[in-house]
Amino acid sequence: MAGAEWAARAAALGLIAWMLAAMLGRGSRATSRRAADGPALADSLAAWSADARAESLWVRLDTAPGPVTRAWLRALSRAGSQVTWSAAHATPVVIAMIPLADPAGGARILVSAPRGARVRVADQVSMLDSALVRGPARSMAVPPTYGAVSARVTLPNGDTAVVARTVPRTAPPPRAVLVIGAAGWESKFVILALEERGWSVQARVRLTPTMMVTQGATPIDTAHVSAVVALDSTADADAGAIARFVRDGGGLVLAGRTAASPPLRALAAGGVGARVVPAALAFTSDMPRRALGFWPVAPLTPNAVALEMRDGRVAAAARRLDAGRVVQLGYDDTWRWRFADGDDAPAAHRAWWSAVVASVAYRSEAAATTRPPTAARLTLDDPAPFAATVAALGPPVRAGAFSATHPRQSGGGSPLRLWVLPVILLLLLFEWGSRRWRGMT
Amino acid sequence: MVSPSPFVFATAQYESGDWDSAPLVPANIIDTIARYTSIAVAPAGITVPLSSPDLSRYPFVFLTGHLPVRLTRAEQAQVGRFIDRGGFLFVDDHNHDVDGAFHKTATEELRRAAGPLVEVPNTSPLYSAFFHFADGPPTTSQELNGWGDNLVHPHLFGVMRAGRIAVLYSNKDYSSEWGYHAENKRFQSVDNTRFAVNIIVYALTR
Repeated sequence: MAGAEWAARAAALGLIAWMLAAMLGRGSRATSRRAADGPALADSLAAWSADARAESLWVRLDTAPGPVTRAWLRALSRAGSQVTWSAAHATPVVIAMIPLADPAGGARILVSAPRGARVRVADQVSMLDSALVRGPARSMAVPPTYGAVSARVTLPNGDTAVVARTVPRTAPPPRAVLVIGAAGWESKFVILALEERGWSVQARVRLTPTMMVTQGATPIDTAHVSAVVALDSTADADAGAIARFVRDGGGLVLAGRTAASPPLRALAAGGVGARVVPAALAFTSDMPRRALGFWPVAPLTPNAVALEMRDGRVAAAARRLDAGRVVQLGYDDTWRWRFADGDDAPAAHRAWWSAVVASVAYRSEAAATTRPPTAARLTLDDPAPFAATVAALGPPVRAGAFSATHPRQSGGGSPLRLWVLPVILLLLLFEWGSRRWRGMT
Repeated sequence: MVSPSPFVFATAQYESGDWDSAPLVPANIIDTIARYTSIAVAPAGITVPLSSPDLSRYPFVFLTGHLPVRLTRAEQAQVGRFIDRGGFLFVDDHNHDVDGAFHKTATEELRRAAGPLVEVPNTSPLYSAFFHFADGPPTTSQELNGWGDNLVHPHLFGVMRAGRIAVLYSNKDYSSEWGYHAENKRFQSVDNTRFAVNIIVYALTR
């Protein structure tokens, strides 16, 4: 019996020694898990930052966290805590905003969201547009915006809204656009439309074989010009400079039959077919260009894409040429649109020409004004919340796994101690009881 | 290879007065344009009613006459819209008389339809758009012979839109000065229609 007493005493002392060793080994850095969900997270983050023992952090959210929460969790992660997160509705959404090279401002917004989702884009003043996502991304052109622009995505099941937001970057105004053409109404009203839209317009308008009206004489290069509009074969004389300009990143618009001109043919998006007479007698606000005649773009060059079709023919096409872009417009005599019935015809004509030029115009990114980010900007600029969170914290775990294995709020403590202490107590009690039974004190 | 739509010299037909008082001017000016420039120009002019929507097909319109002018409401509306869209209206007083019926009424009608007429400075690009006229508008034989109001008018007038001349108004009677058959230019030491080139080039490039 004395052997059993010694064994119990030794086991109890051994367990005590093991516990002491474990405590001393980990010291004050004893592993401790912390967990919190959405409503309690703000308070928990502050507490965890002051808690040196918070080694394992579990965060349960409805959606991907915002920039501030994400940055805080990332800081905790970089400081040594293991951060694990889950979100019930972690839908990947991305918003990108590309300023248009248009003096009137505006931007192209691309929103990537799950297929079938409805996207509502708004700035800080009003809603800008809404659309259904049918492909990998949805593109929409928007007018000048105010403040941050957000995309609110409602999934097909209708009960989830995810927000991505971005702050438009300040873009420099585009450089001049050079219009080259013979003296005529088309050159006059293209120049006028672009000037009225706010473009700085240079012009070379031919009056005789040796006489030209010039407006702003600068070299045709990307240091001075953002786009060239060639209205007819008057541009042949500058074909070499125009080709270099496009290959360096400049934009080129070939209007009417200009693409058939041999010196410019190599730059075109396609050949030039037989002229198609206007399909409508009068301009209408919904399909105004049906009242214009056009030279079909045919055949397309291999890397060209059709931008506008009319009655099965390509009325406008575009291609890349090294760093530059070329748009080939089949339409001629577009000035008639400006004189069409309806008060909005001049504005529509202006906007269309400006959009065509803006689609190819060169804009130096180096000239973009970069301002240091402010706290407010960092808070507002969250174009891809899900992707940013994955990049910062790793992929999320399933929400179910989170709740099954971890308490919602834990004060810490090792479960080992819960059974060790009673065992030690029982071993010592057995040893004491045995000695008393044997009559020993 | 140029635009398929050539320049068309259009003469305005209006309800009142004698809009067709200078029938030889269009052909003469068309000849001048073809003679001095490579601007694609239609071989014949056309007449367009001032009240017609067809006015918008011809952004350059010539208007002349001797008699009082009273524009109808439709004509006023079309003229206002025409110049707001970028059209160019060239009005010439065939009387060469600032006290004449045409001048008094046409200037008032233009004011109502388009806005006030202001003096066009003789340094205007109009006078250097093609040929150079250092002294402003060239004089006409009607002025030098003392016909009409017996004055040499030193300036033309205009209704301005965004810094450009939208309506050009002349008291100099170019309608008489240019009213002859184009083949008779060969009898002149200096072609007196050269200023018409400036007007049309200005209209096409400004």
